[in-house]
Order: sequence, then structure tokens, then C-alpha cells
Amino acid sequence: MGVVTSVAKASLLRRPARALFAILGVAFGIAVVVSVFTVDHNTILSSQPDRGRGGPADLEVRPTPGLTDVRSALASVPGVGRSTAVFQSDGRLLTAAMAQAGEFLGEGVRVVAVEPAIAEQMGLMRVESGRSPSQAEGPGDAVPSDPKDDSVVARAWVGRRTAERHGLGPGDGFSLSRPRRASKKECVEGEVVEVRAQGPQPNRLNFTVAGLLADEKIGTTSGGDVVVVDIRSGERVFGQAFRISKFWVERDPEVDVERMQAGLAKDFAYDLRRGAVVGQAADERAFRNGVRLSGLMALALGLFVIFHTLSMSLIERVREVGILHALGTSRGQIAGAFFAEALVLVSLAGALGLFGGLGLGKLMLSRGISSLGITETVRHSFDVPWGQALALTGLGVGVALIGSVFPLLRARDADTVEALRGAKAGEAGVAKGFHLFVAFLLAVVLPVVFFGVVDLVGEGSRELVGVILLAVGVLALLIGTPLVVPGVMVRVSRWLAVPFERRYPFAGLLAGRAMAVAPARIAASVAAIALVTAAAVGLRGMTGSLLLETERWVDEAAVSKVFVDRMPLIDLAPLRTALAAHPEVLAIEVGTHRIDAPFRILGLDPEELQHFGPLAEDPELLRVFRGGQAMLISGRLAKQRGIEVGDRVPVDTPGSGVQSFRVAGITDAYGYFPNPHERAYGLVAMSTMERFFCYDGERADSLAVTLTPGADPFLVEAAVMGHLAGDLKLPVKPRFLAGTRIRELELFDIRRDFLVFDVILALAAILAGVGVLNGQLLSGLERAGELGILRALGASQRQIAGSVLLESLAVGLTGGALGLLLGLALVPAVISSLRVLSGLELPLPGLLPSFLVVAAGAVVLALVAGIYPIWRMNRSPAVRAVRGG
Amino acid sequence: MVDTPALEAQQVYKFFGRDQAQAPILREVSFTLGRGEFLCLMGPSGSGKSSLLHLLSGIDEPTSGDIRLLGHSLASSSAKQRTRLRQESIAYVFQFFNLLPNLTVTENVGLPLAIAGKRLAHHRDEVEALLERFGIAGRGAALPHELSGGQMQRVSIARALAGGQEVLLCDEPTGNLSQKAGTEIMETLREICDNDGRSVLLVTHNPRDAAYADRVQFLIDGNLDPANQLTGPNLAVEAVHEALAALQI
Repeated sequence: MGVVTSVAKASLLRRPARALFAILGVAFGIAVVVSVFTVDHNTILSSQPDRGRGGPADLEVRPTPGLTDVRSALASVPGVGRSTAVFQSDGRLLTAAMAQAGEFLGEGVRVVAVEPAIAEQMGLMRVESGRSPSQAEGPGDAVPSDPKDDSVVARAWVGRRTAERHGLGPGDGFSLSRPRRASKKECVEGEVVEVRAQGPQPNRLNFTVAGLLADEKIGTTSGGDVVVVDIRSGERVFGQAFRISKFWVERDPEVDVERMQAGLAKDFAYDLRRGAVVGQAADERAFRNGVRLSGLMALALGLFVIFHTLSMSLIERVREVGILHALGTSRGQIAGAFFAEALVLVSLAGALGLFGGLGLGKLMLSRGISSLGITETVRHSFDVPWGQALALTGLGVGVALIGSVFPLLRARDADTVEALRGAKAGEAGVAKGFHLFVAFLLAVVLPVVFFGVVDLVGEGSRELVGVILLAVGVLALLIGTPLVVPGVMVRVSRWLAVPFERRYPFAGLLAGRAMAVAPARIAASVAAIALVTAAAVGLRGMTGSLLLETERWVDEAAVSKVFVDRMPLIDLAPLRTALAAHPEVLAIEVGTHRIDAPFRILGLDPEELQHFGPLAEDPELLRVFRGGQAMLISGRLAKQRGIEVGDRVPVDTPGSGVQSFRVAGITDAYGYFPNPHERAYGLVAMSTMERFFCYDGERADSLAVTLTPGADPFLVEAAVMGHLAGDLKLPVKPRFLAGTRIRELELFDIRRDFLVFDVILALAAILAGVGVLNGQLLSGLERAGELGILRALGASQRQIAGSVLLESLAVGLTGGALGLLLGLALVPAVISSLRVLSGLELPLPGLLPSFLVVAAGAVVLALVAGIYPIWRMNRSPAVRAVRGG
Repeated sequence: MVDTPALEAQQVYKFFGRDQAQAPILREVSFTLGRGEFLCLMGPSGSGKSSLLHLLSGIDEPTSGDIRLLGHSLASSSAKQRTRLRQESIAYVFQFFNLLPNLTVTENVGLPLAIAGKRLAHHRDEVEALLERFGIAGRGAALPHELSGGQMQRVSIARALAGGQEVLLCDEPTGNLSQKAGTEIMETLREICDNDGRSVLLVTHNPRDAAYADRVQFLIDGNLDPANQLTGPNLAVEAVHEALAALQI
């Protein structure tokens, strides 16, 4: 066995605790960060199957009437990528075989007319056999220019089911026509009218199957019973009758979705496919980036543990180098031994961290913990993002390896004579250089590479970058400062321990000295505790702010109301009369009449709303709202879309095209309904809703009843049930939900959604605890002889335990206090940035009792970390210590 | 109570490990250390001297037999009680001094007081007096590695006296010192026995040191034969040499 192997092996086996805790530290850090990204990956993946209403594209837009140059207008909107004009309709497909069999009308098929080459580039269609749109044109590719020329043959791509049903393959021919009596219902000025096809009778058009569509995107339309044609060919088939000018648009993921929505709002009504923007909304981005930052923190802490462990053993290693060199081992061999040792440590840690992280991620997912809060959808999702997981593991392993080898290489170059004389690493100049290097590695190199490997969610706006820099700055401060000026930490720790020293002189004497002689160890422990404390305080501040914001919103939007849903659709007038019999009932809002594009819009009766809120206080606002195309919008919608009073909002209507509504006011007092929960919405007068969407305002199946302050919410249930029980057998019992209950549920949801951060923080706290434990354990084992002598002198195990606990207490108090102070400084900055990032009106929470709980938790963490070293130290036999001298 | 011996070993056996088929390190050891007596145990290396000291101080337990410390049976005491007895009644002086390297001389000397729960600041004068007595006044702020071997052992003896324990166990206290420093230390121990009335149990293989004792017993292969002992006062070094030669030690 060569000297390299034997030295490395001896070092690993001789100090199993050191090796184990070094491995555990890195493995744990890697595991946390891998699990975080696995959870995030599956969170997004589990939300992807949703295709929404807008077809396979990210976005479906419809220009406002009068917009002449749609393409230019679209191109000027930030976040809008490629686009294709599109319309869909039901057509009749006729093959030669069918004609021979006497069938002349053909069979129904879904026709999607697009710009095929662009649609293919956008990934909306894929041809699995035959020719794709981008391939060179050939026979049958001519686009008919003469509407009367029915001899022209156009290209078409058919779905699998259509091909199977009609025995079509590439090169086969068929013809398309529109249904003979095609008509549809539209809402025109409040009346539902049947609209028959207008314009010249379209020609039947002949097509050649250019290719067969794969069973994805457009190919899945109508279960694959679909024909894709060029939009001009489609116009030939369907004429202008049902041609609504729409575009499928590709979203540029680099641009924040709100900026794109704000850009579209002026000239377009749009429908955003939910699956295309999962995790992309401002608050979701903030959440996911927060999770990423937490992962970075955990990784930094994990690496901190290994560096801390190495730092502890530097003195020993410097001496070992001296002996090895004196015995004739070359410096190259020494370097090789150290490298081999570090390689074994970090490789084991990397493997353990990777698979442990995947296991941890799976466990979190199975518990419904996602990167967007708690959700059922992720429970059965587990897909491994191998690229990211391996990259993050590689990052952890790489940084750990560099950090592990550097000090040892420095130690290699230490003066042999000095080393043999037992010079300390600090005296050899190794320790200081190591600490500086570690601070640089963890606070600068790691974050830079980390965000190189894992993209930020969103545009990387000034605010987001600000938050990242802030977090990295705190990381640098917490890791760098104690390591560079450890004496300060020791002085503070000892000062904090003074009151306890008076009560326990022996423990105080011992702990004080142990801290004084190991400033770097104390500083590193303090830094680890402070980092977790600062993060926890920041998180508590953030959740505190969100809770406060929600409380304020609930107070305005829901707390004085009782919500009723799951009712049968009933006549409103008698119910209104029944409720009006109670003087406590102020107003009734009906949640039945609503549309959901481009955002939720409800029709409400101004005569009811005028009894409370802004419409009760502002007659002019009431007049405008009653009057016509005016809209009230919620605070969340205004903030998200950047909409202000006076702005105009285009809304796509089924019979009157895109209509423009003027924003008359911003308020949360009206229109919130909990099922489904949505805080971003607009309100129009019911008469407007009836006019453009033909809703029947006199029928309702869900209500919000506003009560006077102090009224018993149960009266609503009694009144509604009394009314319904008379003449209806209810298949489902209506549900009643008081606003006060909504407040409880909302606050519970926020706390629950932030569980993912709590989990990461708990893991980080364990890591910090391992760091403290490791430091104390190594220190204790190094001092095993001393402790044995003390036992021989009559010191009890309890007294020795007391000295360790006192040191833990001092470390916990210092770390907790430092973390608390930094966390408190961090909270306003984080909330300020979060306001911009999330689009929420977040208030500053002030001093929360939970901050003190967090600081107390830091002390408890440090104390708990001392338990194992105490147990281990008290296991050292005093006899051996006395014998050894 | 005055008649109660300071230390009494009764039929003490000690095996190492669980295999009692092996020869014991101590066999049927019985002896008594009277109050105010200076007893020396001599024996070659590996005879079990240090093991016996560990048993006497209660940091190790005999396989069988009992040790009575100031009348208290260690065999029937719990580990906690043994620690308490040790703290109150026994002081230790080691061959390698065993000073705590991170504590100053003052703190090392005051350690037994701190272990007893006393604040050093309140006992500064007592500690200073001990430093003065052992000629190391003015070195109170020094760390152990800044002292000579003789000074370190004097600090160690000062530490042994600081707690006021009645029994002083000395394990080769001069083994690591020059002859001159060793003589100083032995004179100090004799003085402590004579003037302070403490009971001293000295373990050594140095005849010169043994000559300071009131009584010398010999430990051979783990056995202490009561018939082989020298009794003072004023033992001659030569007598010790002769006894050792007779016992082929």
C-alpha cells in the first residue's frame, strides 16, 4: 500500500467521528438542495397537463376591433414570441370512397386553420409521417387564390383518429366543406340569437394529406379527429361566417407574465393557458425563488460543516505534515494523500446527498409539500430532474473538494521544523488563510455558481437581483465576519456567559477557557446558528407580513359576510324578500354571473352594493358604475396588472366582439366569493353582464350576504334554508361559510403553504446543529485527557456536562442575538422587495413574538447540539486519561 | 472517627477486561493508611501500583473486595457518591503534573475550589497563599507550558492542597523531575504530612523518595505482602535498597 493510500486511509479510519460528521454535513446540504429542486420540478410538472381554454398554445389573443396591424401590435408586446393566426370550426370531410358509396355530405371533423409552418416552429404540431409544413412545397401544395377554382388542391395534415376512420395516409385526397345549416347562438344586446352563416356560399375544397399528426398538441384536438389546414384554405371552406380573428401566441419565458399581460391589456383580449404559466405568477415566482434561496443557504451550511470540521483538525494536520515530511515523504505524496482523503469524503457525501435528496424530495412530495405551498396535485408525482440534481451535487462536491484540499495544501507547505515543534495552525498562518478562503468560497463563489446552475424564476428584475444580493450579503456577513474576526465572537459569548459563570464557577471557568482558546470554532458555531436564526426571523417576518395583509383584506372583503353556495339555481326575488325581512341584512351579492377571461369578471347589482363600501360613500362612483361599461376591480388585480382608475380593459364578448370597459374604482369590498377562491377580479353592473353575456340576473345559485356588525351569521342559514325547504328537495345541501371562518382558513392556508420553508429551515437548523455538535465533539475529544484529569480531581460528570452546556448556551445566545439583529434588519428589505416581486400590498409586521421564539429556538438548538458531545465526553474513562497524562 | 483509617483496602482483586481466567492485575490486596500517615507503595513497573491508586481514588472499581475511604465503603457507593467522596476527601498529584494547559497557574490551583462550587474571586487570598508557600508567587498569570517541571509539580501540589482534602495520593510525583527538584517536592510532601496532618499515599519506585515515608510496602505481581514492609520513622535509603534487593525488584 503506498504512502498516499495508507495516510489517507489511516486518517479516515482513525477519526471516524470527524469523517462521519464531515460527510454528513456535505451530504445533508446537498440533500436539501437536491430535494428542493426535485420538489420544484415536480410542482411544475404536476400542473402541466392542464390545457386550459386557449388550445395548445401558451396564449390565445383576440385583437380589439379597429386594430389594423395586429402583427406589429403583438410584436411590440414584451413577452410575446411567435404567433399564428388561427380559427377552429366543425367541418365535413368527404373521401372518394364515401362519394362512391353515395355519401355526399361527408362526416364531421374538427378543422383547425393555422399558419402551418409557424405553428410547427412553435411546437404546436408535429408530423409523424409524411411531409411537414416546413418541407419543400410539391404537388398539391398550392394555396387557392381563386375562390371559384375548385380544382385547386390544398395541403392538410390529419390527426390519427381521422386517418384511421377514413383510411387516409400521406398523398391521399379528400374534400372539406362546412356544415350545410351551420349556425350558432350568440348574445346580442342581452338577447340570445341564432346566427346563421353569412356571406357567399363557400366552396367545397379538395385537399391532399401532406402528413399525419403526432398525438400531441393540435394532434390531440377532438381526440385526434382533426384536420389542420392553412388559414387561407380554411377561409375558402368556411367563408367569413365564423371567422373570429384570433392568434395563438408563444410566450417568452424570460419575460415576467405580468409585464406581458400589462402589454396585451391595451389592444387585446386574451386567454392564458394555466399550464404555461404555472409557477410564473409574481407571488409564485417570489415563492419559488425563496425556496431556491433557502436551498442555497442549506448547501452553504452543509459545506460550512465540512470546512468547520477541517478547520478543527488543522492543528493536528500541520503536525502530521511535519512528521511525514521529516520521515522523507515528498510534498507531492502528502498532497496526494490529502486529496485522496478529501475525494473519498466528498464522493461519499455526494452520493449520499444525491440519493438522500431524492428520497427527501419524494417524501416531501408525498406529504403534499410543493414549491408553491401545500397541494394535493404533487402527492403522486415523482420525476427526477437528473440534470439539475447532478449539477447541484457536482457543485456541492466541487466546492467541498476545493475547500477541503486548499487548507491541506497550505498545511503541506508549512515549515517542517515549526510543525514538528508543535506550532499551531494559526501560528503557521494556515488557519487565517483557510478562514478567508472559506468565507470567499461560501459567500462569493458558491452563490455565483449556484445561480449559474439553477436559473432564477422570472426576469431577474432589479428587485429580484436586489433580494438575491441582500441574501448573499447576509450570508457573507454571517460566514465571513466571525471567521475573520473570531475574537469578537468569543468576547461576546464569554460576556453573555458571565451571569451563568457566577452561579456555576467550575463550568464557567472551563467553558470560558475552552472558548478563549478556540475562537475560530466558537465563531463558526455562532455563524451557523446566526445564519439559521436570521433566515428564520426573515421568514417569520415575511409570513407575518402576509398574514397581516390577508387579515386586512379579509376584513374588507369577507369578514362581515356569509357566503352561500351549492344552492340549486333558484329565483332570486323571493329569497331576497326572505332575507330582507332581517334588518341585519345589508346587501346581497350574487356570485352566479361571471366569466373567466381574461380574468374573473362578475356581474353585481349596484342597488345592493350601494348599501355599504365605497359605493355607499361615493354617489358619483355609484352613478358611473350603474351607467354602463364601467368596471370596479379588486386591489390584487390592479396591483398584478398595473391597472389604475381611468384605464380601459378590453373584454371579449360572445356576440359583440371585444368591448372596452373603463376602470371606475379599485376596491375589495365587493365581489369576493370563496369557491373558487380568486382575489384578482373585476366587477361590472349586472345590467351590463346581461347585455353582453345574456345572464339571467334574477336567478342565482351562490350568494354573499353582508350583515351589520355584530349580527349572528346563523340567521342567513336559517333564512335561506327556511326559504328553500318549502318547495324544493335539495340533492345537495347548500354550504354556508361565515367570513370569520374564511379569515381562519386563509390564515391557516398561508401558514400551511409556508411549511416548505419551515421544512427547509428545520433541515438547515439540523445542519447548523451538526456544525455546533461537531465542533464541540472534536474539542471534547481533543480534551479527553483534561476531562479525565478533572474527573480524577473530583469533578462530576454533571459538572463537565455543565461546562459544555454553558458553552452551548453562550454560542446559542450569541448566534441567536446576532441572527435576530440581522434578521430584523433583513425583514423590511425583504418585504419591500417582495412587494414589488409578488404584486402584494405587504405591510411591515412590526415586532412579532415569534421573533423571540426563533431566538429562543437558536439557544435550544445549540443546547441540544451539546448533548451528544456531553455523552461522548463522559464516556471517556478517567483512568485512561490519568494514565495517558 | 479519629480511629477510622484514612484509607483501607480489603481483599481487593482487579482483573482487566471480562476474562477472569487471566491473571489479575491486583490480588488480595489489603492495607491501611492511617490518619496523618505517610505510606509508600513500591514495586516494579507493571506491578499494579497505578491501578491500585485508581481504585483507591474511586475512579475505577475493584473486581472484588472493598475500599473504605475515611470509613465510607466505595463498593457500596454509587458512581455519584464516589465522585462526591473523591471531591471532598482525595487530592491527587500526578507524575506528569496534569495541569490544565489552558488555565493559568492561579486557575489551576483554584480548580478544586471551583469544582466544589466556590467562586475563585472569593478565594483569591487562599490561592495566593498557596502560591507563596510553594514559591511560585508572581507566576499566577502564567500558563503551565511557561513553567519548569519543578514549578509545574509545585503547582500540582498546591492544587492538591487547595481543596482541603485529607488524603493525598501521589503517583510517581518526582518521576519526571531532576533530582534537585524531586528532593524539593518530597520535602514538601513530608511537610504537608507533618504540618497539615494529611495522610499521604506515595507510589514510587524511587528508594530516595520512599525514604521520606513512615512506612513502605511492596507490591509484587499485584500482591501486597504485609510481611514485607519497612517501618520508620527516619528510614534510610539504604534500607529501602536492601529490601528491594531482597525482593529482587
